[in-house]
Amino acid sequence: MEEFLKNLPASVSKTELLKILQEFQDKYGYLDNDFIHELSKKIGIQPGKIYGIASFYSQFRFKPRGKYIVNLCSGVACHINSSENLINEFTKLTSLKDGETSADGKITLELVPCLGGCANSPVVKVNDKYYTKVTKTDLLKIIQGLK
Amino acid sequence: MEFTITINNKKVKVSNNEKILDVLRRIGINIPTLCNVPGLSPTGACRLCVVELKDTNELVPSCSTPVREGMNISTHSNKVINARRIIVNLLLSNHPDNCLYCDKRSNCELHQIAESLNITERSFHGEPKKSKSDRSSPGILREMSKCILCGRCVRICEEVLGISSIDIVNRGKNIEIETIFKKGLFYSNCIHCGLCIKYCPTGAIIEKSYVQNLIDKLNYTEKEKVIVISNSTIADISNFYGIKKFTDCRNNIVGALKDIGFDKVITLSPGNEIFVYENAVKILNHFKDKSNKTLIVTDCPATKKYIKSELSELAPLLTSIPSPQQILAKFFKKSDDSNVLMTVVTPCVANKYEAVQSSNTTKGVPDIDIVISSNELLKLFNTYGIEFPYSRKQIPDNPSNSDTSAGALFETKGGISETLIRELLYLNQKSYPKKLFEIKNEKNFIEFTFELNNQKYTIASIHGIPALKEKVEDILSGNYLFVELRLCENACADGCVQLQDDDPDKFKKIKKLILDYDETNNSDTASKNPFIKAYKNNNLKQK
Repeated sequence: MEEFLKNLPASVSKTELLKILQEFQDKYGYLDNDFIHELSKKIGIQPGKIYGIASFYSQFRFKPRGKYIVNLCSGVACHINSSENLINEFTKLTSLKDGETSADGKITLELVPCLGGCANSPVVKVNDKYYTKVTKTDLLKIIQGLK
Repeated sequence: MEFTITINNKKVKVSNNEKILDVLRRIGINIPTLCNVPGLSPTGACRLCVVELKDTNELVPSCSTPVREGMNISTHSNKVINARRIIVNLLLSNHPDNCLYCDKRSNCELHQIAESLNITERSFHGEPKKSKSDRSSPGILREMSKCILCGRCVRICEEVLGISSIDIVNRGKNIEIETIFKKGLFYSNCIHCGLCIKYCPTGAIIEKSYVQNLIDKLNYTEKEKVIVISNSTIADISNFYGIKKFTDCRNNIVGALKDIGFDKVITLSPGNEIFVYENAVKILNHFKDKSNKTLIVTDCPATKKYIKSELSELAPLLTSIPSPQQILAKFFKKSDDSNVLMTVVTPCVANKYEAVQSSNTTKGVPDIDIVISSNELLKLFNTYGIEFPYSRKQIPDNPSNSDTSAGALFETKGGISETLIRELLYLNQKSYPKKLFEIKNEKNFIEFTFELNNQKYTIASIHGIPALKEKVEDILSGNYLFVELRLCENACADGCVQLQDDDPDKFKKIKKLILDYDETNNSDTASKNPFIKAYKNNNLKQK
């Protein structure tokens, strides 16, 4: 983190806040308390305000995420093809709910409104890999494959 | 540029850039508002201030709409009132119903507005807000289930203080007012000044009440019960009940508290006097060192925290004398296992925060056991059925029986400066003018000048963070001998937990009460008090 702050230009404009937050999250996965406080000193926006701004956008995370991000779709098309059963099944198998990360830091479950594969719903995405027309047995295999 | 607009069929002269709401307030038309705070940026969040533009038939929020030439405005048309009713009904749809147990009770602005719009039952049944409360701060309690998201607290914290301890987080229906990482005020950069309490229209941000705790302790403790009342509280109560003389009200309160069961009732004056004396000694030493730095004298815990965290360049200039109430706490609790239950009454929540600071505790127990506010004192009186003027009068106990009027003057606007200069001159040449020479008297900034050893010195009295921010350069460059800092615009009497009173001249009246007391009193500087003389001798012996 110190390195990241060092690499920032000496004076940063307030308008660059979102860009910096994005860059930090790309590198470290989430925005942490220390980073927000350090950035606040540099950019001249109070930490509480930075948190307020960042929390407006769903792209920013404030907790560490797992190695594998599992996106289950809860959109309309997937819902019609019983994605809710998949979500319940996932929670049953891993005891994770939306936004939670497993204790070993491997899996994070995030529900998303649409993954753009409605024709092949229900869709599951693990990091950059898509699984289409997923059944409960497929889901079990997917989870078992996350090592 | 000036032009005329029509409001409720009457022609009104307005100037360019004025907002409709400001015009309405100027000409005395009342419309309900919830999110608007005069002087802060309008957000149009609550929409209660809607007015109808007759020519276009549209409803616009008057707080954020500037006037335009030829506008024809209706402020209470059927359409407007219906819109306001719907808005309030929607605000109430997920608002808790437990008004009976809410600290705000009849002072709740939402309640008053609902009443004025004749809303008597719930029209929309929303999912009740989940009760989330932030109890981390010793002085401020945030019950977010009662929050209507008007954002007043957020704007006060950002625009007046520049701290932004709380902000609007999340989005859409998940919006809430929260501190960083939702950890609570105590773990944020909050300075516990309580301005948010003062501005919250509902019971969402209130002071943490300790009055029932005090009553319980009163009945069950064997310890000696000491209560310290700040002079601003006395003046506030005096003004509230229309008691003309400060000392009359003080003696009334002392009598009442004795009847309730306190063993010792004293005022904060001895603490203030020691504070003034200690600071005077520090400043005189400062002369001897021939230092050109400006010293900062403040007894305000919120200001101290603000300087330490936000203006750290000023921190070395603080005289760092403990605050008056802490001085008294140390005086009464000399030994570790002291047999004293110490209560302090002030109009300020920052004192509640100060009391739990580790430097003000002994073996983890706060030196001041309970801090209650002026408001809570009134509740205590109500519990015991006490009304003012009270039949029993009594002068305060030792060491307050020899109070000087400087102790009371200390708590008024510019009071630290006045009492401190008196004391400096008294220590130096045994004489001083009763009235100081003011060279500048702006709203929250007063400059005084005085002569000491044939040399002229200037000092400044700064009230409020915005005024302080403007003067940081002047302080750093050593333009003043010392500056007095306080966070509330009208000094301690303006604390956020003062008695509720809409009188705009309230603080003038309160100051006048204390000034009258000061004028008729000959014992008017700290060192004239026998108690301070004894304190000095004691200090010398210890050295």
